[in-house]
Amino acid sequence: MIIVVGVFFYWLQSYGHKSLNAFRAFSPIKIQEKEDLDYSKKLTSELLLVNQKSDCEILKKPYAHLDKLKKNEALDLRFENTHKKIENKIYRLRHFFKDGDEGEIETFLVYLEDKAEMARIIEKSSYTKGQLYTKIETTKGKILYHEEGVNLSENVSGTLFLHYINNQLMGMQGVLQNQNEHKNIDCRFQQE
Amino acid sequence: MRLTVKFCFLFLFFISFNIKAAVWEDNQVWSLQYEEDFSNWMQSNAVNENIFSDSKSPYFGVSTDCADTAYALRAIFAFEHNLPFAIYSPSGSRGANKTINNRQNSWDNNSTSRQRLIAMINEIGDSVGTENLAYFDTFPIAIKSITPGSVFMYKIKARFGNFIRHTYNIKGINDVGTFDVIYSTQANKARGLPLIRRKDKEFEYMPTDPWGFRKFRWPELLGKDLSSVPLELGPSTEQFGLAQSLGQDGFFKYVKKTLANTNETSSQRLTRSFKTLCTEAQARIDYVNQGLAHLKETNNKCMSYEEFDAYSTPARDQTLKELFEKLQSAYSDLASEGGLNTTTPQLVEFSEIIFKNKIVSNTDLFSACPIQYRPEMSIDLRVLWKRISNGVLSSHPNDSVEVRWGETTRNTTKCKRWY
Repeated sequence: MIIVVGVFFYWLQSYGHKSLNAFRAFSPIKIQEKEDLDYSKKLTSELLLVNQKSDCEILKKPYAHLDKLKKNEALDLRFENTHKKIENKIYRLRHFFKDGDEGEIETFLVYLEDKAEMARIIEKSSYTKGQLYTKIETTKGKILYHEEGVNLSENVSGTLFLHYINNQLMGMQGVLQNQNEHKNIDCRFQQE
Repeated sequence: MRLTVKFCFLFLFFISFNIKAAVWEDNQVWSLQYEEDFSNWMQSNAVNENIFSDSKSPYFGVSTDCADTAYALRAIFAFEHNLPFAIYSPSGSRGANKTINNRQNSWDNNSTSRQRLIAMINEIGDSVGTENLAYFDTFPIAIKSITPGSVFMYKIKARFGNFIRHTYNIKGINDVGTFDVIYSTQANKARGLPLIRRKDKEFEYMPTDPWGFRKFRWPELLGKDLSSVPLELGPSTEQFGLAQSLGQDGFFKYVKKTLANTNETSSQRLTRSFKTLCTEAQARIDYVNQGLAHLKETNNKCMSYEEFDAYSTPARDQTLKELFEKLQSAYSDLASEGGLNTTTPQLVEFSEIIFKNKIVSNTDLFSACPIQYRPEMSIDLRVLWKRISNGVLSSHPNDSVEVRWGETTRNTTKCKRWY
């Protein structure tokens, strides 16, 4: 009986805890009354929030799908995450740029997921010509997830960063510039 | 027999609570009050250069370069106050959990929550860079909302189309509107050195959207529009428009004026400019020596891209040049205001020796800022400025100490210059 109770505790911690964590939302925002704090004095009256939800929805249209955008625009890939199932194991391949002292360092990581989809790094490497990942055969397996971050229109006032998951636009930040408008935006979208 | 059963029960009970443990359990929520506490904590002595490098520090073992330092400081504050900590998962996620956070048990092979925290920070450090911080985990703020605990991030185009990005953690705002900053670099991380602190920093590169002054998102605000951020935290894109309309000098003058409690006189500016210049000139000794030490370890091997990046100094040399120009400008402004007799005569003399080649037989310029870059070789700021103006300083980490400091331009390295 005692052993059964012990095993139950073990299960609760190992699996129950994980599933609870995975779905437990962070507590809602707690905003204290302005009167209680001095922060109201620091508020700026000239906030330039152009990215109200309606604006974002309108602005996203030309960028909604990455595959279409790739055909028409020169994009600068900033990071790429691919989740792959290879021989019943799920790996995550990450390609991004670490900050150097005087530049940037193209970096490749391989993660291995556990049963609760927690990923741990199993390989770290900087770019070596002809060799990206050594722990896995990247041509094998099935792609489960693909995420990319790209920069568009690098110019003096900034860039437009576009974030895609499985080809769907999830966020756009930076400067949106065309003949008629110049807007600084910070929009996020929910997965459909 | 009964004793054995009891022992088994206790053993199972014990392991059940230790095998799968969160990094720490949070029982508080982020609020404006906690943001103010974070700001106060950043200003306190708890946040110091040795926080990760001193073996007596509770956070010894945390290893950070520039963006990682910002994440580490935020995580430590959250840990110490039982607050939640979460960042957008840098490797992506297919399930409901889109973050790396304190409630995960990925680091439970470490027995204490503090060890788990350090392991989590170091793993985050391997997976992220300044781009994660800018794109996912922070939001842009109004100038008036810049507080200690905010970060300043920049991105500039360097040689050969290469980009340089950096993150400064604002530790304090001085009365005259300059910044007390604490940060790290790749070379610092590689050698386990203390964090770098500059107590009187003026930033050089103006915001270009989305780079600039930013604050951390609360966990529940990750992946949400800027319009979801409480206005009291100051979410705003105004800095980008201001930078465009005012230009670099005008923008930072505006920032300084907005944040200052007192006006800085031209005389004070001259003093500050001299101190800042001296600090950076002397800091170059360490930057160069770190490269030389690495060369010694590798038997003078030509440096790889990554090594070159860590130990070369083109951007830092450019910053040093700009600091000389700032001192020159502070001197010129004071002179044009007719205020040269209102400041320390010595500083006026120093400026004239450096920029006007004024000959003074007994000057204290050397003792005010000696630059001893190798045994038995020390120079003053006049000599350094002359070498910088003549373009003879070398930023290549495979060069000898004499070539790095422009003492000679002969026998320069044949190793590849990566950028």
